[in-house]
Amino acid sequence: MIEKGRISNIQSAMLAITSLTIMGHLIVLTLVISHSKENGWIAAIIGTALGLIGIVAVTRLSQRFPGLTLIEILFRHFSWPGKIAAIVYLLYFFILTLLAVRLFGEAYKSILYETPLTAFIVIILLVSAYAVYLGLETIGRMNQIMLPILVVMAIVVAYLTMPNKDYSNLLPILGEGWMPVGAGALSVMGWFGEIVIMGMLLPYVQKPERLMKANLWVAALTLIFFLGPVTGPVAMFGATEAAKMTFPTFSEVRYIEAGEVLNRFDAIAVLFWTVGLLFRISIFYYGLCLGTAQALKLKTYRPLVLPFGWLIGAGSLWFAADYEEIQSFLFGVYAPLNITMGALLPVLLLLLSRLIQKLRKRKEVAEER
Amino acid sequence: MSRLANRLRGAVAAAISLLLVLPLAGCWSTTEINDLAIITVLGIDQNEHGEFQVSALVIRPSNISQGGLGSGFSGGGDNPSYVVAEAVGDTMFQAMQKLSSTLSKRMYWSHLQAIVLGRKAADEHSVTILDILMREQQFRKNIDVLVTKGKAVDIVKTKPHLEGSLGAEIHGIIKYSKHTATTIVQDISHFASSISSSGIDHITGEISSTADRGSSISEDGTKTPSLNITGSAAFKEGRLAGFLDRVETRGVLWIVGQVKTGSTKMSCPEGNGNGISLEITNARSSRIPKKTADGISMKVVVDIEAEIREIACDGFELNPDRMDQLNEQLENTIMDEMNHALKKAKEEWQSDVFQFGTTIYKKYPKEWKQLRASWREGEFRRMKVELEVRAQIKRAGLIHDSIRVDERR
Amino acid sequence: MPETRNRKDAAPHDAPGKELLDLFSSTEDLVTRSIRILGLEGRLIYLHEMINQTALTNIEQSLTDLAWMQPNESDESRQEHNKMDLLKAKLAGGTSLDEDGVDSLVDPILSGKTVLLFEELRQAFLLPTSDAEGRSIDEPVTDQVVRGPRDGFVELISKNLMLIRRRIKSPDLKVEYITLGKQTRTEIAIVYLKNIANEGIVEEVRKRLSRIEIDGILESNYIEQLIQDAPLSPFPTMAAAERPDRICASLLEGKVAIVTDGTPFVLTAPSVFVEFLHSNEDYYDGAMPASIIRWIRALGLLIATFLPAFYVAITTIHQDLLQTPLLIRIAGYREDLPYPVLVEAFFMQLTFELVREAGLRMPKAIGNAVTIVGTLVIGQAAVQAGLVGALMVIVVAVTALTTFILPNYGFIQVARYTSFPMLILAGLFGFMGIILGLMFILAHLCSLRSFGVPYLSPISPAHKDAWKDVFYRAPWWRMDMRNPESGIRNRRRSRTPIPHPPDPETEGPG
Repeated sequence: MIEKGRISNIQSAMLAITSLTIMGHLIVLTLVISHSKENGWIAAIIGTALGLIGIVAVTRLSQRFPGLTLIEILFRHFSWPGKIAAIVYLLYFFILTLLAVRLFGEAYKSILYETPLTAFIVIILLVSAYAVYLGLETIGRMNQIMLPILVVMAIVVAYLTMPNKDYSNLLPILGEGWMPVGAGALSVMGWFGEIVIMGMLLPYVQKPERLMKANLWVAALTLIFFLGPVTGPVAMFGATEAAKMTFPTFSEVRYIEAGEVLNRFDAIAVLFWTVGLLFRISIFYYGLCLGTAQALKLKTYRPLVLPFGWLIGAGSLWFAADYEEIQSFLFGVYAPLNITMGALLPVLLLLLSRLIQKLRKRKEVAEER
Repeated sequence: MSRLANRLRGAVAAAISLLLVLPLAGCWSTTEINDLAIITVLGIDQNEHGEFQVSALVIRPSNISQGGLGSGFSGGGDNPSYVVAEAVGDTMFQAMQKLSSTLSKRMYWSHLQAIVLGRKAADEHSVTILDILMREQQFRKNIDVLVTKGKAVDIVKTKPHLEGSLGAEIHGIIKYSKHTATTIVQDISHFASSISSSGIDHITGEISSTADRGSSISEDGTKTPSLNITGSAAFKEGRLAGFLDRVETRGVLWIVGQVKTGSTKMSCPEGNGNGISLEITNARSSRIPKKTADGISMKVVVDIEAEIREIACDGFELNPDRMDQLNEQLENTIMDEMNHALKKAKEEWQSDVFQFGTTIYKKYPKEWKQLRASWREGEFRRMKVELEVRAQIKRAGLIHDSIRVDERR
Repeated sequence: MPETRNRKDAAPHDAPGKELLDLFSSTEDLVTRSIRILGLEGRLIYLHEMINQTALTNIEQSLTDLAWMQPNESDESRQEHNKMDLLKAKLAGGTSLDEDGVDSLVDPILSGKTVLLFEELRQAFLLPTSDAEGRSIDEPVTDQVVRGPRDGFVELISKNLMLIRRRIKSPDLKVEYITLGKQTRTEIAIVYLKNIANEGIVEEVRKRLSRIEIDGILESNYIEQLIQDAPLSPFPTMAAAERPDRICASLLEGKVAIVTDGTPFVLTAPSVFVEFLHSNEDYYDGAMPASIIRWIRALGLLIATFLPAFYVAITTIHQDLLQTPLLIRIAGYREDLPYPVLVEAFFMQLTFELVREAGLRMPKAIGNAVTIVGTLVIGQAAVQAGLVGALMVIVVAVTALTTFILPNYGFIQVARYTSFPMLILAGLFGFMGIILGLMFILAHLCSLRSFGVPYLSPISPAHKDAWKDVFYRAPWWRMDMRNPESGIRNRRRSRTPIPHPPDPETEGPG
């Protein structure tokens, strides 16, 4: 174990919530609304239920091999296929990190469009690298302070936008049938697959026995936090328009006009995006560095922080030439990728580990005879 | 210890090099506040050649005299604090670009308070105009869009009276017009969602100069034109269908349920006077689609509470029977208004400003799919609408019976 | 001064007096006098300015008046021996030159004691003649309260310890002496309450102090800089105070105090972030006003750090967040100004820093007035000259004033100097830049520890009990548990139930 820090159960749950929620509000939201339109909330609920598969698998896996991160498990217990799988996972973390970085840049470019993308990438990576460098405990503590603030602000925003919302826009239920809902649900399930990054953090939690409960709470809370954004823009703008927006929550926030004083809440959206994406990037960045250090059997992951920073920055720039390519990635590859890495693989690993255990027991029994 | 020092050195070097590089590129997205051309009203017209004519009301911030921190804010005086810039282009974006070339500052749309569409522009180009309004980041979605019967340019050039800028004036008029319930004003996001929806047609307020409306504002003894937002413009499938006057607009408002407060006049029951005026204090309405043997019919139910504001009838006495009479009369008046609206929009134009289509979709999605195709080609017209009004006059102000001549001994 | 240590291999103290005088050679303030006590030849050696002349005279008087009560002893050596015993009894012990060596006499002389040396008998006595004068006890200049005690620490360690002991009259209050500084030989005292403080922290303090190797300790800040947790961090991890009541409050919370001779500033360790937003006055006021003042202070910290950056961000990048009339007005203000807002902000902040620093050196009568008024006047003039905007002056003045809300000087520095990078970040990236800067600082704070205690506790890691003293100040009858990080031994502070008027039925008057 390279990381000496420990985080409490609550902190780990909060980290998962922050990192999932922000991606949800930014990306998954457009996916779900454009697939399922006004029935997005149904898709969300179903998707969460499906996503639980991945969550349970990852938690169980972590509890089975206490103190070992995902990469360590793969390396030690699954011999050469495990090593390959581990490298695949590292690539996966890398891709998700640079996706988040690129999204940060794109999101801000829509407001500050003259600033070059590189500038945004540099600055978010600087702060992120600093946090990763300082370690898991630091990230956990920062999140513990910031998440309640964000939640309170979100509630305030939701309250302030209520007069503008017409919830009858959410009718009819299942007007187009189950297909659109299904597509949306799969996107949500894919989204939850990202929780596999927790496989890198869970070994450092103080009370591993209580992990299942904590992670179930994560799923529930993420769902609740998602219901707001998935119904809000539709209620406010109507399903068709909401589906066309690149950043529905941003448009929603800009709409607030609570009296003469509290106008123009763009700043709140900025706050959310910055803080949320910062944590998400930091967690995946951290997982990447830690995993690589564990794979290479280094003493500490710190020397990897800067080189990976460069790689992530460069990668996020080369990743896609324009926003259209990103859109096609999100609509095409994102969900299946996450479902594979976040649900299918962990389940597979879990079953395999059980199988291997059984085989080993049989071998022992046979040898005893 | 030396490793720490090295790290510190490295960090400082990195920080300095970054800081040195960044200013070289300039401070990208910053714009000094006084380099902004703050535009508060935008007018879009189509001229005779089919080109887009764009007019913008640009604020000229008056110079605060630099006489120290104690001096006051000097007002406009004869120096108007705004200018109107116009430009013409083949597309709207081109017109806007041309506009920026005449301005010495950078165009800044984020503080736009109203957009006025000229009649022709609203009729022929709503959809393309909407595209740029939705796409451009600086246009907030809650900016009100109004239509004028003539040219938007004339509206933009009107001098504001109570407020410093026309934008604020229009904004204020819109805000308080909600209390008179004579118009319905929608913003960009509603515009977009109604145009793209097959079950709604857009409707928004109509703005015009007061010269021909019977109210005016005088400044320095001379009557100057001011603005008035009354009545509305209805669209049909992206094109202008027509204009509704205030009575018809009120009818639409009743059906759509957007009456908050407003006033109505009824004639005297005995025909001896000018009439009784009431103020609506509370109104709720709902639209209920019903499935019947021959398709879908719509029932509109309106619930109102009102108060008497003026009694101009001779010898009128208030008592419970009279109240019942008045209630009935009120109900009929309102139904009349609604019928007027229905006649114009539903029968004449087939413009579904009442959101009937969407209402049907929300309850009977399958039936709607069948109706949709020919909704505006006859189905809408054919649909039966049942109106039901329930009115309750609650109070009559501070006095009961009105003042009469020679009442007392 | 020559090293005394390698003298040990020289011949064992044949002429200790000469040895001693050699050590102090070329110093003209060392005085040597002969004295005859009980028929024995002795020498008084002392540093002229360090002693209290009256005390020395009194002691001399009582010594020469010593009568030898047993004239019958014939044996000379026995006589001498008995005389020595008498002297030892009277002067409370003594130093045997054979055992302790001449070196042990150096420090006492330097501290103001007088050495009474009997060379042939190889005995030396230390006479307590240290000058205990010094500044009188008065309210400290840097830390004044409306309600509360008016005494403050002085430069003499003995008086300071007395001020502490007078307040905490408990045998559990332990004092440990250390001498630091090769040349200054400053006396340092570690003070703590044994039944409350965390022994691990005390041990850590001892360890770090013993690692100090420096020529001189002139101020407690030297010590702070040499033992602090994060020397590269701008945030202070130890607190210093000039008021005994503040130090005693810290001691009662389980902190360790370090008293340094020569300075009235006493250090306490460990110190966490929230502590620097607290003032002793909070505890002397009612709970409600104190809570509100705490919030105002926190707000002040935010304003002091972020207000200029905010202003720059709003006026240059996020203009859409302003109300239209305000926007128009600000645009009007800035119509003819030459410089962009960022440059103006920098300029004004810098000016204020210069004026403030200059104000510190000015004579007291003018000093304070110049700082604030001076900035405003300069600002006014700059506005009239058309260099900066009036609004900018207001922003900078408000920022400057709010920095003085913070009770801890180190924090004021931090707030001020952080505002500059924030300005740059705001100018480049707007709000996002400010938030990222804030996150950067937050990350730093989260990773900081003070003697093992996380800097942001009790907020994170969360200790709900201690929140009573963080976000608001609970009334004394509710403050029953200590912060677990420092007062780990003894969690319970008080058991007082909520105060109430006497119950008429059971307790009744009379």
